[in-house]
Amino acid sequence: MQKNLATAFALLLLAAPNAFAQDKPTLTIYTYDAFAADWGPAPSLKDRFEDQCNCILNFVAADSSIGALRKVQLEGDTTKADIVLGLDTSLVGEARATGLFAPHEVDTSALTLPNDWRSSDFVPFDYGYLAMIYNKELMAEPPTSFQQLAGGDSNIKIIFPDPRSSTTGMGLVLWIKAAYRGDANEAWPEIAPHVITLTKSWSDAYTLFLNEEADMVLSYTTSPAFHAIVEAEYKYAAAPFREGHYTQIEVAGILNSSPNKQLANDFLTFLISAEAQEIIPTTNWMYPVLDVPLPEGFSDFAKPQKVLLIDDETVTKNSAAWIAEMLASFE
Amino acid sequence: MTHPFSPIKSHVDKFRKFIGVIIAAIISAFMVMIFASLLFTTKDFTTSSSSLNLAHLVRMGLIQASLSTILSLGVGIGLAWSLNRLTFWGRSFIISILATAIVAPGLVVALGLIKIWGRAGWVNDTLSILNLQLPGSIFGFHGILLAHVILNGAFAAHILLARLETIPAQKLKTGRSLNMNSLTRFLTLDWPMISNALPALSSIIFLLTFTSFPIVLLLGGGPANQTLEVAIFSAIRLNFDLQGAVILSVIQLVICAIIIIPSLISSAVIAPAGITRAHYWPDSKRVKRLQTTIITLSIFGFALPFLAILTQGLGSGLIDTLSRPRFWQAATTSLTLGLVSTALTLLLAIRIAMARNALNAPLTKALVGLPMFAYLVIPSLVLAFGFFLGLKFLRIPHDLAAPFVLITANVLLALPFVFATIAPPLESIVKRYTKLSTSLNLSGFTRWKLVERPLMGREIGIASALAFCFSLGDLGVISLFGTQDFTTLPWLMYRALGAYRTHEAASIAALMLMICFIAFWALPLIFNEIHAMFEIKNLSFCHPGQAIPLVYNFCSMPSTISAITGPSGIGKSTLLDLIAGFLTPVSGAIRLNEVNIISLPPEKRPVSILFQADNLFEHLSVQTNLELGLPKSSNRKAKLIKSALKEVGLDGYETRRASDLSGGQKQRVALARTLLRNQPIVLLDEPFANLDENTARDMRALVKRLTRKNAWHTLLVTHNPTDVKDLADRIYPLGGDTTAS
Repeated sequence: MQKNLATAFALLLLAAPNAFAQDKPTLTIYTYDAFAADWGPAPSLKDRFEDQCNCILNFVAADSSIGALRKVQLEGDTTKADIVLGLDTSLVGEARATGLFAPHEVDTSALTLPNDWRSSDFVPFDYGYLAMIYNKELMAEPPTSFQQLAGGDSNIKIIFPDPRSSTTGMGLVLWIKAAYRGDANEAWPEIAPHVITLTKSWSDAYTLFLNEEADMVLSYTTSPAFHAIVEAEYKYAAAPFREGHYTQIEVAGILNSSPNKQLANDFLTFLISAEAQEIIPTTNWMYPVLDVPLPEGFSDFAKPQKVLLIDDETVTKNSAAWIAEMLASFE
Repeated sequence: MTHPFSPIKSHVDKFRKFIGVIIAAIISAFMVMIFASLLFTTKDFTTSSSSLNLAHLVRMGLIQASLSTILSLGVGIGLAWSLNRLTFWGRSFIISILATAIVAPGLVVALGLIKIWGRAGWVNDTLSILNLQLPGSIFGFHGILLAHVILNGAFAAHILLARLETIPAQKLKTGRSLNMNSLTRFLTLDWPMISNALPALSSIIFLLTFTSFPIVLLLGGGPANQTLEVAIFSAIRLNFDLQGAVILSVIQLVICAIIIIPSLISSAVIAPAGITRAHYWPDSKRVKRLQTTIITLSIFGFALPFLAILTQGLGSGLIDTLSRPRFWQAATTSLTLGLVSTALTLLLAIRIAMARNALNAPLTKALVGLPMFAYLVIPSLVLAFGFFLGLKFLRIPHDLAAPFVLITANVLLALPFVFATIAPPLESIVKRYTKLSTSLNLSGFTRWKLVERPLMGREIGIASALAFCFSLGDLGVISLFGTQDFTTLPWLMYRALGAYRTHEAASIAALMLMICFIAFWALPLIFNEIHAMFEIKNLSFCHPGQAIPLVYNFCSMPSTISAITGPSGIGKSTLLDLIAGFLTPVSGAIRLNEVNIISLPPEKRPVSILFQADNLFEHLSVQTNLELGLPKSSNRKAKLIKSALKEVGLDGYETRRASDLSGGQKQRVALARTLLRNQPIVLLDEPFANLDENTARDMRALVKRLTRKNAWHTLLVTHNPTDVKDLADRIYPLGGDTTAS
């Protein structure tokens, strides 16, 4: 049996990436899983960047963006990561507070972002808007606002991930806060009866929605584009809400401890170039930060008229209290 | 519960105690290390402490877990009882499905359940034809209970059924002869077996449900229904409050320990182990109707969610999933991890169970068992962080350590389940056979190989299937250690779910279920090649004109050679004749694997006999002599004979006439015939007496090898001290009081 064990261990070790085999510099990027997956943007980005950088690009996937940040925090100075990619605006404040990130040297002046978002330490590379997605075949007239959704005579059932375990869920808390301003504590008790359940992750909630267990699910305005382009399925749509839609901007930051800062800056410059940005829409299902033409099918879904965003600092300071406020209305 | 007798101490027990205590200590030290690495590194992080209503969470958790445990056990007992009584087509299929429930990822089962009972589920779809709808929704407290009962009730049923099936046929016959009704039978025969398995089973179910996370969150219908585990997750994930997470984990650990310690102290009653021939038990029509109802409802409850998962997953997306290299890469990793983890888990669980059996003091017993359950109680995310920081402290690169960490996590996860499966039968076996094994001075390994391992083959099969399926991938740990190239199947499934790829995720879920299903069906079969125990009890025979009858008592394990010695006329050959059926005893029993063969005629007994000489018909060829040992209908005679001759070193002797062979060669041909007859009991009456010393030595080696290889009970009657010295594992001197052993 010992021999078998040894063989098995040897096999397992072979499966581990071999980072020492090459002399070229390696740029290691921690990101969330969907970004690094072989259907995500990472493989194309890697091919295109390696063609021009004489380096090796190594994506390491954590289960989520918050997971990638925690991994870097746990590793501290010993981290192999040069870049953390995929943090969204609700996490930026917390990431900055760790003191692990260095200022970037990337020219972001050409970017077109909602609310003209800028930062000296994080480079935005795509963005999207939160939306409630519905099935057009099952609901002819979706609500046009939270107020209508929560209204007395509406019988609409919604589902979304728990803000304590999912950043998308946290996004809804921020959205409601931005939409209702000071009155969010009144909004949640009205919304609560419409919630069938909270799930651990966005994917659980979305799966239940696809199984028709809920009328609407918290996702992104770009979600219907996935179904249209990949599955040729046109029945899903994002309901435009009068109060506006909350913005999630995804950013990447260079770590202080990185020995490859120049290379890291080169990559981030590449990431917001037209060459890289055209990959984003149909692999990460978000909007590019440059004015590149959107693929067919993507442009059919209009961007929201009114967009909302709460600044990083306010989010970091208040998020715990806002979650507690939301949870209280369910008890 | 008190001990029926104080166990006999032997060096085997001492050794077993020692190993088990060491393992328990290593696991405990490991857990402490994980906590320590979390606590000592927390000062590096800015933490925001989380405010929560601890009392509320604990109360909720306790209510939910207690109810889930009681319901699961109730359903499990009912279902095991019904399945034990009724035989019907597809029964074994149902049993395998039951086993699969516990290892399926909680999320998959929850989604399957919703697919059946949800708003747009199968039940509502069917009802809508009649313009009806289920009242209320699946989400809520009842949804949590339902999911837990499906997951754990099925597991309980599977384990309990295995226990019920080990009730010996004799006991059932006694029960019938006493005209027991269904209730009396349940209370007197079934309940001792069930209660034997309940402590470990209820501990596991309680822990699983108390720490349940995705199910509670998904089916709870909102944050009002939640557990401590959710709070720990949020503390560590959202607030990065590692210290807070450790404190909450310790609270959870203490609560769970208080609840499960009593169950670990209790000691099992003596119950038989091993498989017995099923004995038909006629229940009354009313009871049968009840059993049928229970099984029908259970099929509806348990099998439908799984059917939903399979139908969703084995559709159009399957080909696409199977055609991707990433699937095969993940599958290879999962299967390799699974195999390694299974071997390790079995080893540890068996060692701990052995140590617990060798220990007397209830508290020490509990302390040795306790560490196993630690992993169930500590949230996997906490463990993952602990692992991670521990490795950082030891300066071990994380990507290199990933496979080892994953194996450790798998082993710790599967350990309590494997323990709950094998500990009760092992305890029964040990209690039943300790005296015998000690009196025979069996070494620990021999005891395991000849007694314990064969008698609990089926449980070992179930346990390895459990370990294997759990080890396909633990999600908590891989979330920190997984990389692009190192992926397991469950991880791939979650990945696919996170990227709108619901079809791919469904296919992977269905395929994982199939793998587990196959494991639960095949592994118990593979391990359950039970070896017979051969026993002669108070067998008495009186030669005409003799005043005092000969009385024999004898016992043998498979693969052993027992030498029967003693002066001429003492009754050695009589014993062989009695076993072979040439003589009829006055009273007593000859049992092979608990079946009395005393009433069988000689030709139907599982016995081969080899005399001093005249074993062959001299005028016939070797081939013809050997054909006599085979059933007439066998159409592979020539091939079998060739291989048997090869085995005894007479390759190519088929056409020789028996009279042309030397004495040694004749005995070899006779051995080849014994081999062909393939009977478990082999009687040798002075087989080497006519051979020269060199030939006899070769023959002894051959007999020894064949006995070991074919698991024979070999009985050797001999006068030759060299035979005894070289060959015998045990000696039965006849003489004095004419009682063997």
